[in-house]
Amino acid sequence: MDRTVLPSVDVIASRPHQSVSPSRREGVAAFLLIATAFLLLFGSVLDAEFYVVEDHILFRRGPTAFGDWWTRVVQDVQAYGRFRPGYQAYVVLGFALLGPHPHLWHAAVLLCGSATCWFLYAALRTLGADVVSTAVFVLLVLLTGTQHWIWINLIPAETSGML
Amino acid sequence: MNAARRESGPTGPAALALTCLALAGLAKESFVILVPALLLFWLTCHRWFHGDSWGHALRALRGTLAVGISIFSLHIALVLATLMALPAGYSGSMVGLLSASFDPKHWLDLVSVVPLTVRIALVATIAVAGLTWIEQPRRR
Repeated sequence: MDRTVLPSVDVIASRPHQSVSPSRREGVAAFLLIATAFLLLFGSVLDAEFYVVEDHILFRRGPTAFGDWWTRVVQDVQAYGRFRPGYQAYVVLGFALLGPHPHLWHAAVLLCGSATCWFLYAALRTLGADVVSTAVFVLLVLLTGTQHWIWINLIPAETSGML
Repeated sequence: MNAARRESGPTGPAALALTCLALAGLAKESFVILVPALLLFWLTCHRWFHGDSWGHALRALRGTLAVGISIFSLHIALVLATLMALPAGYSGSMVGLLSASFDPKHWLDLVSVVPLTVRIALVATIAVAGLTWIEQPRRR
């Protein structure tokens, strides 16, 4: 095959590609659409109370926020053999900001999920993916499989980890 | 062609991304094993957008990669130290560190999942090294 007509894969890969960030208008529109999708799909959780089996661990408070955080980190290591200071910070900061109000917690978790999907959208668009492909990919992440439970539960470390 | 001068260490967005990597690993242990894959993805994106060779990309991102590998090593060390300190604890029992909790079937499940990531990282590393080696004679 005439290499002057068709460039090799190596030549194509060696060419600089343009990184294009989405415009501000597109970014705002994407976030509003993603947030709307979250509300349509999972909005019913905004009326929910705390789940009695696991959500109680959100409210075990210590003398101070930092003291509570460190106590939780140490207890996590001693009781479960797990080292998750980032997750314990999420719990302590969450309680400091949202208090014992389940509706605020659920709203914050939906917002966290919306922000995660928006960052995913912005990253894919910056890498050069077109709008339709990116939207389909974000929807697949949002809907398929069993992982969507992290968008509506208050306890999973995956929610903050994904963000 | 001056890739090494373009970016030698993590600054700005790169520093933010590395901080997010570190925080994700501190949120849950399983996010730690994603760090090598994300660093490889970072390297590939750098090569793609700058039109660099693998060697140039590696040199250009050496600071960022060094910080990322340090984050990965530190997190893995913390997770392993916590596990080994309490082999009879919840996590130790889950992975069967003691003879009482050792379950060959459970280990088989773990071996079939975790090494998949390791295999992907190994194949990717060999591919990067191979491509770098192939590109050397052309530049000479």
